[in-house]
Formats: sequence, C-alpha cells, structure tokens
Amino acid sequence: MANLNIDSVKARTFDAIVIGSGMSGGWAAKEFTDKGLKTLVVERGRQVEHNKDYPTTNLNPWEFAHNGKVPRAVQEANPIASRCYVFKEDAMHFVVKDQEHPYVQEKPFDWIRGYQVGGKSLLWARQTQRWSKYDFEGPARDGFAIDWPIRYDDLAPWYSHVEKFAGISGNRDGLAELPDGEFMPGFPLNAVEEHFRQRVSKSHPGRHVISARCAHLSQPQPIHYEQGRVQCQNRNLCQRGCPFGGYFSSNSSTLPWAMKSGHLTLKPDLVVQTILYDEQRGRATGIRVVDTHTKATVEYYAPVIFVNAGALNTNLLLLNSTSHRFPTGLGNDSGVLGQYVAFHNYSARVFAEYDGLPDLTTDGRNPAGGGYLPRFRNVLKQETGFLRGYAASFGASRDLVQPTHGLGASLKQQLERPALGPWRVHAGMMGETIPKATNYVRLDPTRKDAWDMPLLSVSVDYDDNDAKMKQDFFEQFTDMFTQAGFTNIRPQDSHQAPGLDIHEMGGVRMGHDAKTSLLNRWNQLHACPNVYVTDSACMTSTSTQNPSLTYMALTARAVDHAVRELKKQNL
Amino acid sequence: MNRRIALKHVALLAGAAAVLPGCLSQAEREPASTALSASQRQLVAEVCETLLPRTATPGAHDLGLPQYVLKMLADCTPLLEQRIFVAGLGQLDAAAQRQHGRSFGASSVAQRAALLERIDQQPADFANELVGFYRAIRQLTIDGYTNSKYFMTKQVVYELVPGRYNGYYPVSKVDLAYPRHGQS
Repeated sequence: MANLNIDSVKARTFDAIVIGSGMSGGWAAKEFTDKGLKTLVVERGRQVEHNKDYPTTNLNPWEFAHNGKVPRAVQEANPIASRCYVFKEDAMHFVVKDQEHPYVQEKPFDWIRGYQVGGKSLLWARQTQRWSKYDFEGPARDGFAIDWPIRYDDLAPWYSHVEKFAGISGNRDGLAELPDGEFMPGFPLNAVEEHFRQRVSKSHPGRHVISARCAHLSQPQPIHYEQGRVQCQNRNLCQRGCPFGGYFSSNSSTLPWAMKSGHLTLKPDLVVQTILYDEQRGRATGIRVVDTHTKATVEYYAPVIFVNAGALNTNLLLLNSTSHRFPTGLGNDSGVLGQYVAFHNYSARVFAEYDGLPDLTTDGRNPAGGGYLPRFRNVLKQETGFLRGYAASFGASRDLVQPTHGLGASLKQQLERPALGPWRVHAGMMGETIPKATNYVRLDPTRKDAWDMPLLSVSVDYDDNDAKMKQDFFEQFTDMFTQAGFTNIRPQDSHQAPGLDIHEMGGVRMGHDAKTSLLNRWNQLHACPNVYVTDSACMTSTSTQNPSLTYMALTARAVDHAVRELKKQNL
Repeated sequence: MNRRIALKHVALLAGAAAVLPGCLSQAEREPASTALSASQRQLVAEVCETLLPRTATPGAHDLGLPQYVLKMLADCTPLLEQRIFVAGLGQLDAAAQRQHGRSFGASSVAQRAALLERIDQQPADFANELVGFYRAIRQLTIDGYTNSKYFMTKQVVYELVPGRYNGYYPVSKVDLAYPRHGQS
C-alpha cells in the first residue's frame, strides 16, 4: 500500500506544471517541453483538438440552422456572451455561457471567456504589435501605477523568438513607437487605405497608417510546415478554428508541438482550486484540482508552477490559494493582489464614406483587417489634457448592395443583380487605461460555483481620463477623415462596459518592489519564487497594442529563466 | 351573470395576476409562431411564393423558403415581433376580401401580388399589424433566398476559401451578373 502511494505520488509529479492552455499557457508548454522538462498542462475546459474539434470550420453559410444567427433562447440566456462579436452560430460553442460560469458585477463588466483547450487563442483577433520603449517607460514618466521592472530591450529578443515560431505578417515600417519584428510579408493596404495613409502623412505629419501586423502565415517558413501549418487562405473564418493552421493558436501550434516532444501531459476538464504551499520550505509544491465532471479532487506536484489561467482567473486562483503564511492570497504581502486591473477602451468608432477611387474595389479577403495607426498622442512627451493615448484600427471596403423594393419577379431580378456600393471606412479606438487601486477584483465572501470556487467579484470602470481621450479620438479622426476627403462622418460611442474589449489585464502586476507589486522582473512571485505568472494578470500597465504577443514573449522569457534557476537549484 | 358575480370574477382574476405573475408572463413568453395552424402555414407559403415566385429560376416554394421563414420566426425573432406577425397574418384574408372579394388563398396570382403591392406602397391604408407582418415576412423571405445554396452557388457565388487578396481590383473586372463573395 505504501509503495502504491509512493507510485501514485510519483505518477502525479512533473518537472513543471502549467495552469491554463490558452495563449500564454500553450507557450509555457512549448518552451518547457523544448527544454526537455516533463510538463503537465491542466485546463479547466474541454479538449479541443486541432481540426478534429472544429465542427463548423468547413460549413457554408446555408449549412447553418439559423443563417449564422444566435437563436433567441440562447441570446436571452446569455446576455453577456451575446454582446461579444464572435458569439454567432459558427463559434458560440467556443464562448462561455453566462449561467454555467457566474460572476459578480459590482459595476457592469462583460467578462468574455473561452473555457477549452486553447482558450481564447482560438478566437482572438490575431493582431500582433510589439510594445515600444515608450510603453514600458510610460508609468515612470507619467507618474501612474508603478514603474515596469523591465524595458523594451529585455523583451526584444523574446519578441523575435515567439514571432518566428508563431508567424507574423507585417512590414518593416521603421517606427520607434512600434518596433519592427521578424516578419513575413504584410498584407497590403487597399486603394482607399493607401489613400488615407498618404493624406494623413501630409495633413498630420508624424502620424502613420501602416498595414496591421497579424499572426497569419502570409509566406510560411520551414518552422511552420514543421508544425503542420500552411499558408493563410484568406477565409477570414478564423473564429471557427482554421483547418490550414493559417493563423496562430495554441491548438494549431504550441500544444501539438509540445505533444510531439513526448514530454507533455495535457489534462482538460480540471479546475485548479488552489496552489499548494509548503510553509517550511517557503515554496509552492503543486496544485489541487477538481474534475469538472466527477467533482473528485486530486493533487499534482512540480518544483515550478506557471499560472496562465487568463487575467481574472489567475487573480481568482491566487486569491483562493491561502495558507498560514499568505492569509489573503499566495504572494500577497503587498496587499495589492487583485488591484490595478486595467483594460483597453474599445468604446469609440468613427464611420464614413468615400466617393473617390470609384473604379477600384477589393477581391478576396484581408485577414489583417486593413490598416493600423500606432499611438500618436503623448508619445515623446505629455502634450494633451489626458494621460497616454490610443492606437486605432482603420479599414476600407466596398459591399455588394441589393437596394430592393417591391416584390415578385422584379424583386428577384434586383437581388440577382447587386450593385457595388460606395467605399465605406471605419476607425476603432484602442485606448490605454490607467491602472488604479479602485479597479479591482476580489472573492465574493459567500457565493461559490459548482466546483467549490468562490465567485469572482469584479469592480472595474472607466474614468475621466478615458472620457477625455475618447473625445480626442472623435475629434482627431473626424479631422483626419475630413482632410482625407471622406464624407458622412459619423462618430459612434458604443457605451459598452469594460471587459467587452477582451483585453483585461493586471491584478498581479510586475514591479521592482515587493511592497507594491506581486511579481519581479522575471514574472516570479516576489514571495514565492517558484510560482510564475506570465499571462495578462502580470501587466503593470496596458499601453495601446493588442497584448497577446507580449504575453507570449514574457512567457518564453520566464520559462528560460525558470529552467536556468532550476538547474542552479534556486527554486 | 349578475353584477356581484362579475365583480367577484374580476377580483379573482386580479388576485391570480397578483399572486401568480409568473404564470401569466409564462403564457406571454410562449412564441406565438409555434401555435400556427396548418392553414396559417399554408398562407405563409402563399405569401412567400408571391414575394419571390418561380420564374425562369427557382421560387420560394422550390427553395423551401416558407420553412425557413417559420423556423427563423420561431427561433430567432423577438416575441413582440412574433405576435405582430401572427396578428397581421390573421388580418390578411380580410384585407383580400375587401380588395378582391375573396380570401388570399382563393385570389389569383395577380390579385395576391396586387394586394401585397398595395400594402408595400400604401401602408397607411392598412392596420399596423398587417404592415408589420408584410415587412417581416418580406425580409425573412429575402434573407432565406439570398442565403440559400441555390443563390450562393448560382447567383452571388460564395467562396469558402478565396486564397487571395487584391486591394486594387478594377471594378471593370467585377461581373455583377455573377459576382463572387470574395469581391466586394
């Protein structure tokens, strides 16, 4: 019996444990297994295997039961998920249903989640811009949050490392505010996007319209074929899962790669309840998980643990991992665990039309979505009445339009002979928000979910800085659109709650000082150094770039550090 | 029924409504469209065929559009709009009687089209529900038509795998009689 127990513990002991299989967890799995470590990845959701579990990926529009729409009963049962743009008939099976995973909104917050192997990496918008030195220097220069303990140069080689493997398309634009990376050819701007680029460069010197950089294989390299991925086929149906592996996801890239090494054990359907802490050794020893189906609990052990549960769930897990040493959550000596949560302000758009270039249109689809304007406000110094700034997406397209009237044979004819509509353009704001102690998450004191985890209570809101920045976005884009000759310019405030941007960050921030932060410059908990947090929870500030690429780079860098520390027996 | 008993009924009803609001709202929440009779469904099919008749190309009946309309009505249409749809459907035969002296089903193809044309062109002459019904069924029929396999393979060709992007495509090369969905 004793031997059986020893065998059982041995079977449940690994070289490394990774909690979560999404964007950053997949990278931790790849990096650990590349270095030969026997790695356990636990995922709270179900298995989603590349291709095998993409049920809608090859369906034509007429093959859906409801023309792509979400049935009314599903919408009514899921008001939060229904606000998310990917919650449509083709991908709603990859989005968490409201009632299955409740949380508490102290203020309105749309928490969009993807509980499955691969997490939200299946569903992301695939935009991949590096941070610049101005972004990492932001909090120190402008006196908000705390100073980042790293700078651009610390991360640059790791950006290169992940870009080569993930496959990023983009142009070498030579901008200090948006450093170039390891690129495959960018997807080109179309005629009107290029027109806007040229006009802006004259009307507003220093502002740049570039091709959006994205995680699509425009010209696959041997490393991508080795992953079983081939060239992006411009389907723009990415949220269904891509049979070509044309865009980067954990499912198509890092996880199968790690599996091929023979060092990966992937266990779906397990919710981590707590990280186990050894009071004597002052180290985490493993995790306790609950099987989502049987509700049985079991422990797994490893000398190093990576927490990649997704921003708010990483907060929840650490807050719930209490011990004599850490009564308010693992590593929470500073008392700021769960605080300084921030996000991106996506609530503003400007629409317009363009009468010019009527002889041109587009053919095929652009997976990059079009253009991108890096932040141009307060880049080198403070110059507006608000802190920081915004990046923006910019796109132009023409639609086939079927303006119809009447009925009968003439109606059929109108439908069969569509006209080409005018060029329509749009810009979307991606605003930096300022992390604050008053934007926080905490454990609900009484209510628990079906797996005995406390409900997460979220209190996150916009502030005055966000309002001023949004006003500036409307003014600047109205001006740029006007000077580009666009007409019918329509600013639109979506009034959406935070969360719907799906860029929530922070709560377990990095910093120099254990008194004001949770993580050091290597993403280790200051107070429990064999626990690393490398997902969005670690972010000290948000900048304006789509953040996933930065989580990937931070993760690869942290794994490299962890493995070196393990060899030195420092963990 | 004397006045006292009538008052008692009113009180009972009010009491029931106060005590059992859930029961009442449950009945209200029932999709009106699921209770359509066979003859009402037939009427829907006749309206669909009038909107998009068979010509040299397939019509509503050929493409199963009545079934599409009924499914989208039941599964995806807000309940208030469903109730308007059903109420307006119920007014169609009376409107046909006034116009042509016979029910919609008994009207000729030309008479059916003439009535719907009038609702389309002169909505002020008709009850709100009937106009609401007409607009809803017209839109659903159009959606079903343009989303049908026939339309997306023979008229405006949908491409699942375009495999290309050209941001400077000459409009002169777009064949609007046979456009591809990758072109727009």
